[in-house]
Amino acid sequence: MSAFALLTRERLRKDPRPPGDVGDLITRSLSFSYGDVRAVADVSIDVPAGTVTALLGPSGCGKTTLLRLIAGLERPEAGSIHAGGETLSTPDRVRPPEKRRIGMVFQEGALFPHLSVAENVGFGLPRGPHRAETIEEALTLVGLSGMGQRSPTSLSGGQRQRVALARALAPGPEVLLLDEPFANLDPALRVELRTEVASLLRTLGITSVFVTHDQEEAFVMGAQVIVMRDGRVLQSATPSELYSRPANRWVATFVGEANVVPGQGGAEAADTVVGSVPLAEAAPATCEVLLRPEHLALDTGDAWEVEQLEFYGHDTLYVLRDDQGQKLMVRAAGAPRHVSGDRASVRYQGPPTVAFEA
Amino acid sequence: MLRAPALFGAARRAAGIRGPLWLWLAAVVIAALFAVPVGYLVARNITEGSETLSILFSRDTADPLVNTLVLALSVSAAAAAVGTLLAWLTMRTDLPFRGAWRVISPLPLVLPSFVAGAALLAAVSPGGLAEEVLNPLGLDNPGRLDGFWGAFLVLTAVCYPYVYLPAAARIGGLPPSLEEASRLLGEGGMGTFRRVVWPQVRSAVQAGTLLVFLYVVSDFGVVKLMGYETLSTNVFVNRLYDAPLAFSLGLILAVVALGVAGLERASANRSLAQLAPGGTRGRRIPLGPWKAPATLAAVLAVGGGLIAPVAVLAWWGFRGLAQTGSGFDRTSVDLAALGGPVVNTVIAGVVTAGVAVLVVLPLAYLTSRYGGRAAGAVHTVVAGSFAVPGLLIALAVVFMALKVPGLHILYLTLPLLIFAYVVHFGVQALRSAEVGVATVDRRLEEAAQTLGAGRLRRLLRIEAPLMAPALAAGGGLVLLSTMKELPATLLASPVGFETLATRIWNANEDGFLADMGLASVVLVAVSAVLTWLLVIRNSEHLR
Repeated sequence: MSAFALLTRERLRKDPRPPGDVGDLITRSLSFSYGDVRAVADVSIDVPAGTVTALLGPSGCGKTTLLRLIAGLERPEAGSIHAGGETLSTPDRVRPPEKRRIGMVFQEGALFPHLSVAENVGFGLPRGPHRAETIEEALTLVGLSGMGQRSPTSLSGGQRQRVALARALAPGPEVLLLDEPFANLDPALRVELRTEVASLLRTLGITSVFVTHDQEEAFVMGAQVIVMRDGRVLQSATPSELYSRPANRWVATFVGEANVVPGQGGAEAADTVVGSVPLAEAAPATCEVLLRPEHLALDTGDAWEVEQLEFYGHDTLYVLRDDQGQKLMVRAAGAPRHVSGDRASVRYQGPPTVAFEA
Repeated sequence: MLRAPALFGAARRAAGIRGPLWLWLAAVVIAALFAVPVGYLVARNITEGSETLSILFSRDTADPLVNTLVLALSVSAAAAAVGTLLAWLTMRTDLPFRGAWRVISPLPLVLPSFVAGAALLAAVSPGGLAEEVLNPLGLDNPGRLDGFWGAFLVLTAVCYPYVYLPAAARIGGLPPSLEEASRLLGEGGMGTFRRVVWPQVRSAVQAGTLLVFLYVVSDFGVVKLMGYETLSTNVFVNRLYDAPLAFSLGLILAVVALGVAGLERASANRSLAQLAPGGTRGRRIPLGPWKAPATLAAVLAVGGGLIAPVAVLAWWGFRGLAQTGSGFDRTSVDLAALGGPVVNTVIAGVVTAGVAVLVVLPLAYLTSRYGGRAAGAVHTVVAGSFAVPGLLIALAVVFMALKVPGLHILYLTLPLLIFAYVVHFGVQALRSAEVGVATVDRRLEEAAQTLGAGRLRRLLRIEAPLMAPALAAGGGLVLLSTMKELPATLLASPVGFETLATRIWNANEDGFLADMGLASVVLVAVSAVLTWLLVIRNSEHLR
């Protein structure tokens, strides 16, 4: 029997609701403060059942606190939490974490150092004939089959996070929460593991929330990305929508590289330092227009001076400046075709973009 | 020509000996000195053909031995329970005023047990505080509280911080995510404590409980005051008219202490979580209906161990100060007469601390820089001298000075007292010195070497300044311990050399309760300052 089938069976055995009726993870007007600091302010999110949502934001934006509220590790001051068609938390009734059937993978793994890998994975499982089998299935799922007798201290950082994932999945949780699980790993391992975990979560079809401050990681992991800042949700969207239609200037610059230049808006286009730029929706007369560096191209001309350039192998980033002091980043494929001090003109060649109120 | 040193080197490596030879010579001499008192204790038992075994099974020994074990085990169990509970309450739950409890809970450490015991007896003595408080309420004086229960209560109240401090530091430093992970995996509060917290805290509690056990078996003051006959009171009483018996009983006592210490070390847990580097936020466990009983328990523990004894002593002391009359009056005191004991206490303590730090420094270099089995053995000798009751070490050195030819000039002199102190408390300086040596990165020394600094200059300019805080802390711990040590001071002090501890003891024996109260308040005040600076302030997870 495959691990997926086993986990699904576990889930159904514990919870007699018919399959297909598993509800979304929902929070409504959730608020929480640490002393005077408002960590989570009036947050309402929807995580569709069976999908992965990435919570993206700079450190201190409240994303981890939101995760802890969902897990029941903090008590909300206001608002409600629902998952799997059940109400987990209301202002009057807060279900304790051990009764929520929510799995969590901590940033540092939080493996019990006095227990073996198998004992860690089996921690949340009831005693019974299937226990050993489930432990081995869960370990196989994360690519660690046969490592059950090892001690957590003998494992590498990546292996530890795999065990943490197996431990969280083994009891067949309704929802899986991941709190920057790859933050302590070196970059190469991080890329490898996130690809693997992303495909695993998709295969299992488990409702998941993945916290990260890394835009790339959020885009790889999440079918939906929720951007948070100062305890508030700024935008919820698919990765591509978030990138092409950020809700405001801050999101635009946080999610990828961005030039935000002054412009004169209209119904379908805006007038900017690089000429007319197509707009996805109408903009006010005075506005700021988003120009992604890879949507700009260099031509012969003398409006801009090449101030600096960085060659990345697959492409080159040019930093330009015009006579009024306006700076512009341009990313072009291939090796540098200019040296600093050259003069050039710039043209927009991307899809319709967005403008923000100035 | 070339093979001899190579062979020698191989032999040294095989024996686990690493590091320069001169350091080893120094270490061996120092370790030998530390082993002298216990060695003499054993030698006396052998040479006098003493019937240690028959004494062990004689009726006269069985009672004090059983008494010692019963008291030590019950106080250890009670102190472990109180200390662990209090640590968990203050570090992990929503106990009211947790911040204040964290500061107050370790404070009974400042009270020497005999002072707490004397306070309890003084409180219930005729004309004492208990009468003063109870009579207006229409209640009788509760009467003498002594024997086993008196000793048990006093020692538990004074000793639980030995468990509380390591347990609280451990719980406080434990990453909260471990407990959170357990909760999310479906385990409740009690189950999480049993399956996750306890395995991580056990070794800290165990180490603290060992200190309690050693404290109780070596305690002389409380059991003597309470009239509870143990091995230590028997050794003390018999030393004058039946020295062989005293030495046999002493050997039994030393075996009990060292045996338990060895057992504890053998069962230490090695798979521990790394302590989180502070600043972790964790979920506080709501006590709910248990809030009131938990608070009451904390009040009783701290009240019994600190507030009540200090209140009683202060009451006697200040009553004495307020009364007119000479120092011969039992209830009045002469403040000036305390000057001598204070000065003596400081001299003995400071000299001991300085000597101890200097003496253990070579050992610290060996154990922390070079390690190996032989260095471990040196450490064990020094640590073992702490497990052996101070009473026995003083007994051994005093009798050695008396009996060994050529040593009699040391008999009842200050150097002898200081030697006994250093041997008994040296390990406290050693642990700090090891930390100090470890803080000096060897690359710093190498950098100094490439800049042309010789050995002496490196020692003075690089190592000494970097190690100073740790060495000072170690010396301070030794100072604190010598101030509170009663039986060794009683036994090995020069004639007429009165310290605060012996002053308190003698005043109590003579019934000068006011004198005793005032001297105790002074001792407690000084030791409180030192404890705060050296012990509590340094356990960062308690803040």
